[in-house]
Amino acid sequence: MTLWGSDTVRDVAESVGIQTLNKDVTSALCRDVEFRMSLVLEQAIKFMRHSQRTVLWSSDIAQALRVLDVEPLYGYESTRPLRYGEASIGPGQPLFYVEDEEMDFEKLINAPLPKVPREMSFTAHWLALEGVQPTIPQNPSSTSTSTDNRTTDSLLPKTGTAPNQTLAAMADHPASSSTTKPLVKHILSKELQLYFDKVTSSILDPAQPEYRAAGLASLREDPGLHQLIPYFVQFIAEKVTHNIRDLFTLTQMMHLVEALTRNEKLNLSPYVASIVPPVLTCLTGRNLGPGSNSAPTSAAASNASPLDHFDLRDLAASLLKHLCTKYGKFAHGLKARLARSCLKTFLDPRKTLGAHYGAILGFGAVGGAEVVRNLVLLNVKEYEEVLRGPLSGAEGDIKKAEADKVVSAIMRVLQILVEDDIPMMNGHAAADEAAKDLVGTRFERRMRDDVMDLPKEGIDFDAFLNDQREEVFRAIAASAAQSGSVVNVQGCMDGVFRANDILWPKEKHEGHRWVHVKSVSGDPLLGDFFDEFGRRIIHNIYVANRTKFGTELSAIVEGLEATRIYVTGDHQGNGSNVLRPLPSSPLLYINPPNIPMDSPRVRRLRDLLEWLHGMRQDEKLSVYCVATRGVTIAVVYGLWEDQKGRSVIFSHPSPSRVQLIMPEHKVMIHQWQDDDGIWRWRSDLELNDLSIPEAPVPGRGLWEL
Amino acid sequence: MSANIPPPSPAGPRSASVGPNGALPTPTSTAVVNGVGPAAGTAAPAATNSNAPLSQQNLNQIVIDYLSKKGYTRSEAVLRAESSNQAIPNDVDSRPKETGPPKYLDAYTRFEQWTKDALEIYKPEVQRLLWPFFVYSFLDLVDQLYTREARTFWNKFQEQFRQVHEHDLRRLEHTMLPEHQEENGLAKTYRENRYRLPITNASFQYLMQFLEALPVPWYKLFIQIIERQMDIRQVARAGDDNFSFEAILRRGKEDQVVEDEGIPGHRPGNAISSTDPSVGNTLAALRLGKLPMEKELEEDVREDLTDLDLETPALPGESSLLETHEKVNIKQEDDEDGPNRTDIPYPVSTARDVAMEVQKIRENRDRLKLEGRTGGVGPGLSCVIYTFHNTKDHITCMEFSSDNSLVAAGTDMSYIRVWSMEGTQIGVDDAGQPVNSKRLIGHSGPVHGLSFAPSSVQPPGQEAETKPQWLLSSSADGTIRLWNLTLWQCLVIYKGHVGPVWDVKFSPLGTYFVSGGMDKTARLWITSKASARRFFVGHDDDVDLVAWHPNTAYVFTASCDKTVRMWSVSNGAPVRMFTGHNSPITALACSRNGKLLASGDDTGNILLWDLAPGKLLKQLRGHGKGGIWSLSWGVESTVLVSGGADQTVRVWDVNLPAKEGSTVKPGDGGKPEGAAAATASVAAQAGAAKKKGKGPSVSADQISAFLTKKTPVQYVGVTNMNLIIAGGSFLPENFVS
Repeated sequence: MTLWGSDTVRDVAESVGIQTLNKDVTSALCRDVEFRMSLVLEQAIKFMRHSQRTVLWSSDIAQALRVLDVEPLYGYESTRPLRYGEASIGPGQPLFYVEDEEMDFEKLINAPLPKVPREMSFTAHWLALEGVQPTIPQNPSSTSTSTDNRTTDSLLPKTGTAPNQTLAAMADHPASSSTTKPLVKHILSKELQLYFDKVTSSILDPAQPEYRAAGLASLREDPGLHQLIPYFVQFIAEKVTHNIRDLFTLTQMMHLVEALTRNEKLNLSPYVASIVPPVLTCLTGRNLGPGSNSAPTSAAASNASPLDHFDLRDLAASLLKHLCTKYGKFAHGLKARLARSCLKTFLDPRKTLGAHYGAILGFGAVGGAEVVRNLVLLNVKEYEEVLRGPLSGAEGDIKKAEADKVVSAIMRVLQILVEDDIPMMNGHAAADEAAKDLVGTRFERRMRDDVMDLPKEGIDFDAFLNDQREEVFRAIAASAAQSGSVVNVQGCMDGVFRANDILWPKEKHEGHRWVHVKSVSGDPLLGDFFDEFGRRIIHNIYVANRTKFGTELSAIVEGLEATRIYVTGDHQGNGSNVLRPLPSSPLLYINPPNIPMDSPRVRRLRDLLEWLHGMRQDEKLSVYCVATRGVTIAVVYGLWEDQKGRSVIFSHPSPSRVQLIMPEHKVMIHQWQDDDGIWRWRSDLELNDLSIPEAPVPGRGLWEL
Repeated sequence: MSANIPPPSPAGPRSASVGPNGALPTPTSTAVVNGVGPAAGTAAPAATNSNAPLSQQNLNQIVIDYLSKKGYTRSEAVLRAESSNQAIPNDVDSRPKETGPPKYLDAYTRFEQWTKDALEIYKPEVQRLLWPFFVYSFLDLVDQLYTREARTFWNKFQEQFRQVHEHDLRRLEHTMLPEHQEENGLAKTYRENRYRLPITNASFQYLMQFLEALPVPWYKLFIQIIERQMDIRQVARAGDDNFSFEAILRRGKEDQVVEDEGIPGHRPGNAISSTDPSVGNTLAALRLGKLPMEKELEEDVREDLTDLDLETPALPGESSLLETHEKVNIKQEDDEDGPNRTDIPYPVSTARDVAMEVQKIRENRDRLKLEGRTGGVGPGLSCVIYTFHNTKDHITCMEFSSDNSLVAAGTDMSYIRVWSMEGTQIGVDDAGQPVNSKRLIGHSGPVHGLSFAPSSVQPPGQEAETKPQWLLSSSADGTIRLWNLTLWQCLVIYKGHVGPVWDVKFSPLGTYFVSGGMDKTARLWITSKASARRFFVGHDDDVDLVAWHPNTAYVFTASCDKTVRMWSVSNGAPVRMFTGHNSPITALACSRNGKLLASGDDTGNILLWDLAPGKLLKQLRGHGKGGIWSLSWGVESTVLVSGGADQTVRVWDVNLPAKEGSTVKPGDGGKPEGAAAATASVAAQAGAAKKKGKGPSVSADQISAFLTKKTPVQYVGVTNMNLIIAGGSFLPENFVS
């Protein structure tokens, strides 16, 4: 009858020495105990409430007992849950007790102190801005809350019954959408469902292109499809997942995504996270399409080329770029995530070449020049090992064709790099003129900052350049010899400095000395300088190439111990685009002239390279050449490794089909002038007759990272 | 009171016929025993007592009755004399028998059935009788030691009250012995007070008809309850108020807040809960207007503002500081009267006061203006939340200083910790290292109340310091402490409360503060005196919360007895009482325009009260269970912000949803259509929710709700610029303390 059993009362009575207790007394005591307990609880709940808690603690009970003038129960001041033990005092008579471990005091006192609890602290963030909760990690996202039944829908007034419903409907204010969220699942009209079915079937109709086009056009144009977006997103995800071998379906799905993003009336930004995975699948999927190993069974497959999936990847890449530019700013970290997943694919040699192709294009689509520079350019040398096998043709024609595709992809993204450099271009008169004004001051400032031995004020710059050069050189040499600092020589070939000739590293290095000369070849003083000190102390030479190239330079550098030589310039002698030194390995940067391959200059270049090869055989040497034709074109046209395992990448645009024949290598590229007289290049280059001595060795180079 | 109840005419003869076997002789029945009943009355006992043998005694009685009725007095006297001798052998019959428990169970079952079958027009009203009848029946059973019966009774009927009266049920449940009633505060309150219930005349007649048709013992049971324990007010049904036909019908449909019934008997608005209908029919006059500024202070402020206006002239379209000042601080034509400056003495103003007033005006001018809901769209408010980590739920209360420079958190480990909100240095630790937080150690029990003295942002170039200087804290150790925030020391301990002090609040102008505690009193103090200046006594239970009216002339107290009371500071008299909450009140805040009061309770209800008429304005629903820990008003008093244990911050529209182009302004006196509209919206809302049968419904008045991440919101405040500042402790799923 009561929660508090009369047995318990009797037990307690016995424990204090009362052997017999009248039954009425017991039951009255039961009730009384129960009442007292409810009194204590009542008080305890007050303490809980005033502590702004919703969980009753034992300390609340202690406080309540204190208030009721009862000695509190000591020893329970812990929020650790009590453990109950069970003992049996007879059949069906369980006895419960609180487990109270005995502690060894000695052990307790010698035990290390428990960890100090972490300090209380607070952080502040925006819970809401102008009535809208920003989607930041500190705020609960709608997906995480849907599980614990606290969706935002349940927080908002049911608009259907709001007395001001009509007013809300009348109010033409965008914010009203935040207060009146439609419950999609309930109110999808029959018409919309019909529309959805029609459109999806039309898009996947292989027989009628017009039908497909009409469906996509409708998606691109029609308003009022907002409620269907989740269904379309779901549809795309499903189709892509289940039709990975069906290029047609995949392509259509990409078109569907594109159509949705083109619709001005739709706001896709909340769904980007769900749209991206299918696109990424089509971009970097391991095996898309029927695959080369499966025998062509159907008629459709028989006339399909095994390289068709590259078209899909191209489409997916451009779509990805579109998504990034349109929604990148709404979806936090979207680009970083995409770049990361592309990199993962790119760095995994077990992935198919198709996947690599997609990943490389993905870099270009996601991040432009910065991503390409940091993720592609740094890894391309090691990546070459993956390509070497397929490129040699040893693994079949299809493999080779695929490898060619990959090379073209690399070139395509490297082009982005060059376009990125446009602001620094040279060769445009206007830019040059503007730069000229700057060059004097810039140059002088650099001189003062970098050549530390110069007097900081009152220097006659021209005088310095002409008269005191020798002194300066000597001073630098002496200082360098003493301090062991790095000496960089900056010069050009024709004796005229221009804005872009000054190849400052972006960041100023501690302990660097700079020597600026008008000409590395024609300056007699410099010659002396080189003779006297150069072999010992000059570390880097930056040369802007103009009219002369090759022999002079090779003559100069022949005896040098400089670790790096940077040569920039183009065939018209118009200075250069800056090739930024990469910080990693010892490199020779050459920005070679843009000239026909049979010209004397190429021969000289070839000579130089041969000389370099011969000279630097003991080092792991990489030569990167990125050439410019005017401002736009850069093509890597060579990618190989020499006998010593050194990679060489050459870029060269040329007015016609060019073959550059190096001692062991043959490289071809295609370049043509279109009807408008604009130079075009084609990405599908051929790399012929590359004799690669060794097969790629996994576990070398980048893979070790 | 009894004048309102028509004497039940058949009672006399019936009770007489039952004689000593009657369950409990009541004063009423004995008083009218000699009354002459209709002849029909004689038939009734025969029918009801048909199984009893028609004894000699009864026969004689019938004949005597007959004789006396007909006026044969002599024959009657003879018969009496003779039959009295005869009665001796029948001694056994006439002795009081063991009657068994009163038939509350059966009677109440019948009553409940009747309320269910009642006509639609009466139903909502008569159903309101169920609860008081239930409570008093139960208490009667307990009182007569029929414990078992009381338990059966309880178990059978308690479920239907669970939703509305859960809190009371829990407190009454274990009251099983008569002596418990003495100790159980709630049972005692019920016993010692009459349950007030207004009911329309027609419904009352209908009820009486039903009661009179009941078997006599049952009738007696109910009539006793009504006579002894209830205060039924008969009201005329009127077209426009709460007793209009529609209003009653609507109310019947839903478990809506009823402000006019309960213990202690409450007449809407009035603080006097007397059962005497002639007492307290007039509401005490309130002066809700602004407190006029001190003359010198006003002049100084005016001077400073003029200078500032010259320095930086107002942008076009913007009002100058001086204009704002005149609008805000100076009484306007249509404003209500404020209290006199002389009623509440304040110390002479200082440069700090001037600077604070100036800053207040500046913030008022430059604030984000909230227009309330226009065209169905609420204003978009911004909210910064300060999430406290590693608290292990030890923070018992939180308070942010009004200049938003300091935040104080009280803990159940008896200390208070004060942080600078921007992480700047606020002092040095023992080793002399600069620190951005300070511990205030002194209390010997959990800290339950904190309050910063008024302060304001100190703009660069201002000489007078306006940083917060003082912090008050109240604790379960029964003391209130005043802390200096430059020395970081406790300066004064205010003793007086017996038992825990639940809440303490600085007056909006400083100097005074009010506290409330478990001893059922609220007290008004002056910081410079160690003993209380005013006692506000009248609550039947702990004073849980206190709040100030912005003009400092009134304070509000909320109590476990589920009432909110309003007291005048100048004379300590109660001026208003608000009943309607069904569970303990957990938050209280008076609007900045001084016309409305908001109170939130444990079940997530927020009630808005109109102070002048003392009536419920509306009910805001949406918060989940577990208490609304904090309420705060927007500067314009058009929005209310609330935060609670359901881990949300919610913004509510105070102005009623505009209907037919007419906006009802709250606070301009009891506007019947306003109240009706509020009721309508709530009822419609609740009705719809019931149909869907889903969770707590959300009132249409909610503008927005902001979810936090596992952070119960312990504090919300709206700055003078209308930015919401919230604070809460982050509680991961499984924290171990």
